[in-house]
Amino acid sequence: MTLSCEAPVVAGMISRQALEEALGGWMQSWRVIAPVRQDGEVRFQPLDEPAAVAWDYANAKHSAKGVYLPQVERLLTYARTRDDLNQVKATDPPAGPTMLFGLRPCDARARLMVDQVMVDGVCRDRYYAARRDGTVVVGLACEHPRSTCFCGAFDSGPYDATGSDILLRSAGDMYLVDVVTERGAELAKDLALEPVDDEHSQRAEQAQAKAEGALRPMERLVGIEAALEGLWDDPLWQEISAKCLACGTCTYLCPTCHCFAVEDRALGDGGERVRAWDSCMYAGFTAHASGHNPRPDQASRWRQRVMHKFSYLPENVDAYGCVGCGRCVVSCPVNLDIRQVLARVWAAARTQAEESAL
Amino acid sequence: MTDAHPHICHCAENAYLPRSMQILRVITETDDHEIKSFDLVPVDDGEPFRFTPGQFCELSIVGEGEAPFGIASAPVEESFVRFSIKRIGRVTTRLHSLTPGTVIGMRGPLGNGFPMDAFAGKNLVVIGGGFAFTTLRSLLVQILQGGDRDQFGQLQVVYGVREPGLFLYREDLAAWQARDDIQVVQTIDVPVDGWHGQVGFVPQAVQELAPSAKNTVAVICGPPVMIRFTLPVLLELGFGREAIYTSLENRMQCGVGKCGRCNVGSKYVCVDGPVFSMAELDELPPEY
Amino acid sequence: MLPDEIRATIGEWLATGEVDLFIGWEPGTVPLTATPAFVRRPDEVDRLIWDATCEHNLARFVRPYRDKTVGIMVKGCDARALIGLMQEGQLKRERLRIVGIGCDGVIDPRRVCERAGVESVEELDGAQLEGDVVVFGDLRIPVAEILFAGCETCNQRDPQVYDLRMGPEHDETSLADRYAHVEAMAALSEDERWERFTSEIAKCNLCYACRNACPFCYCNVCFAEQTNPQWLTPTAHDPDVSFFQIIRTFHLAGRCVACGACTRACPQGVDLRLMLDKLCADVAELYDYVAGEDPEAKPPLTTYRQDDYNDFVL
Repeated sequence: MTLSCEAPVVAGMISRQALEEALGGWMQSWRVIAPVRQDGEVRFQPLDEPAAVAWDYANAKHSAKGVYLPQVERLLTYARTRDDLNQVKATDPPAGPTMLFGLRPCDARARLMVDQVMVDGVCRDRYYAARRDGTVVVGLACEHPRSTCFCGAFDSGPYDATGSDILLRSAGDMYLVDVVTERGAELAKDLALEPVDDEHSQRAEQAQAKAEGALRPMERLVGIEAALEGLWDDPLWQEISAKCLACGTCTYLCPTCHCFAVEDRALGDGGERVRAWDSCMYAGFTAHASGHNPRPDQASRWRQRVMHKFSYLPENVDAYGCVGCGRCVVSCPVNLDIRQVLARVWAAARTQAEESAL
Repeated sequence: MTDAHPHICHCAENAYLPRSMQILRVITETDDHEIKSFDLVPVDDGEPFRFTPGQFCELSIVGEGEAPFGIASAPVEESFVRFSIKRIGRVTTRLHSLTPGTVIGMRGPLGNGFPMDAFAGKNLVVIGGGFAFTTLRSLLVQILQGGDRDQFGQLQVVYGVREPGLFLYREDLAAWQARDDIQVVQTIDVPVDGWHGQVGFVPQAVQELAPSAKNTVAVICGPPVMIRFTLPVLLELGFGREAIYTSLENRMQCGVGKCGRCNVGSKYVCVDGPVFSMAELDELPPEY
Repeated sequence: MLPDEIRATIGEWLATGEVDLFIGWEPGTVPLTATPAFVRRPDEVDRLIWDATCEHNLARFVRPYRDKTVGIMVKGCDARALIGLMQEGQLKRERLRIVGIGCDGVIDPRRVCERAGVESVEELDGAQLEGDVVVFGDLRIPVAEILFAGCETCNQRDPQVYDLRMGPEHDETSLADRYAHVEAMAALSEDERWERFTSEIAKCNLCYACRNACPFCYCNVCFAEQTNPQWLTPTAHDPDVSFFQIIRTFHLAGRCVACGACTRACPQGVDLRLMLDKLCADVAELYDYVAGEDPEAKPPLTTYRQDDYNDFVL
């Protein structure tokens, strides 16, 4: 899978205070989006002041997806006239560079995967590309994975640098600064770095070992696309989807889900054509005007969700449509746990293999 | 994406921006007025519109939205781009109310089109049912009028509709009936006064025609039930699954493989299709 | 706790084919969470649980199986939903086998998080419900202190319809607090009310979890997803969000049984109860009607009476 990176280079270490000073500088020329505490929860918001960063956050309930793929994005505006039904003007994607600061490795990897579909694959999406090209990521390694995290199942982990330009690793009172990309190297020049000493290096390594050890053991998911091959008609899809409310919360919170609808919206004398998040969980997602629906029930829609994330995306863009962040697990109103679904997939594939061996 | 069907990308600048096209003329194709053809011409002096038969476009009406339609004109018909549209939903109902002179938007060409290179040197059996004759017209006109008729072998067409008033492109059909380099069998479902042509469903008509499968490619577009019953006839005649092509009609929106709506298995109908061979469809789940 | 004799009866129902399917709850994978369970074989009944984490209104799941005989567990509020669905001709009583539960309320994990000083429910790793108390490390929190807000003022804790009954019986005579929050809202000035309303609605991101958790939102094509005519665009902004919330609320007038499933399902913490209880209160006052009490009753918005309240008609 392409979602990996060259080993980052340790550039030095820096105190939180110095980092906050650097942030203050960056905020002059970047729109800095960081995890911030508000109304009792952590959200990715534009930063008002460096001290507002929630350094010790686990992860935000919502992903940072809204930064690189807004929930509602205006593609064009139009005027309504009687004879010209194409008076359209493309909107300019927002100018100005964005820094995603404090992003967890799972979320950083997720953004890379969406890049593959929207920019690096067939046809360059101009709006997405503008946001992507103007964004840098300062990642924050994850010291305390939750019981619902499963990044490890993808051969990744809470200290994966993939998708970050710089990765910060906590070492007690200091942060180690890993440079991952060229843009990261440029950024690192703004930091008042000290050389890393053994003590801090060891602390960081210990924290990493502890974090990786804290991940709940889970069957490895790399290679699950092979398991899915024979399962199209398996009864498991009916069974696992029975309690699904089709509410779409999972797709909204997921940092890799990117399916959208293009809709026209009247505004005064004219209107706008927007791209808005949509969900394969919704019945109307594939419904034809004629009434025909290739995915007429929640079982076929759940099969699509799993196949898309764990079979089609690996085939088409060499990356899974899941990073193990666990948001869907936490927020699903009926606790439809994708980890259990995937365990069922492995089990069903094994049963099939046993039966065909007989 | 298969190598046989590379995505022909015209999305250099902005894949979502429709090009302004003016309605040159509106032709009511069917007696029930439910299907009309719209011939469009570009408003700007921009690049001439180039495409391959089998491709589609998203037609746009601001305030209503967009809908995908197969291109019914052939590339050789340079003076207009034709779309035949059945009135069924919001966008199509609005389209049907429009008159020549009105400007609408068009994004395209999208999709892969028929593999004309693979068709060259072969005989063609073209089978259409009902409303699904649009891109087949594009294919046939291109072969007949594109200047390369001798690049292709025998041309046999079976076109079936419920009743005579539902045939599309009746002028074209009459002209083709008069030619000797194409054989056209038009059939209707049940006998009707005044109809002196063939009667019977498309699968039967294909069976009676009994086209030779040798060095022949079949292209079949129509309602799923028609395809389901015609396919065995073709297989019986000796057509290999890799030599039978169809065009899928999923709900498509962005048209460029991003919005996630039109996939059949790992393939996007808007990018890897809509033209697929039966052999390719065999590899995909039955989700269309 | 699910009493043994109830569990055994459910097993018998499945074994004899008296029910084709039994819908209950089983433990979830997130702390202090249960999840709906669809049980078909007698040997699966050991999966079933009953406790204060069983917050879902399972009536929402029955409709697709209405041609079969379905067993179901329902709390007081959920049972009223079954009655409402029977009133609307969606379910037949004889095709249901109902285990009715006298309920003391379900817990709100967000309140547990507040008490425990954590931000999100998955951080309550190791938290357990032991009888009437949530135990998390050294913390022992009585369930009564962390109930879902609607449960605190609930006056319909006992099931109105059932084949088997479990759980305590309650004295439901006191109505004093039932609409307290609605009255408090009504006492505010118009500007304050508007501010409160708009700030709640602003949290909504139009994910439809509320609608999908509700037993009464069963339209084949919801108005929110109609394309012809199209009423709203699926953005997360006004006016689409307000339009959806207001219309959904009004579509539930005279039908909502105040189970709170919508409010608990909402990932954004929108206080949907506020709007829905306002309509419950209005319907009670204007039409002397409370939803879900009597399967034979006709809902007020589908019946005509000479003395119907119609002051709103201009």
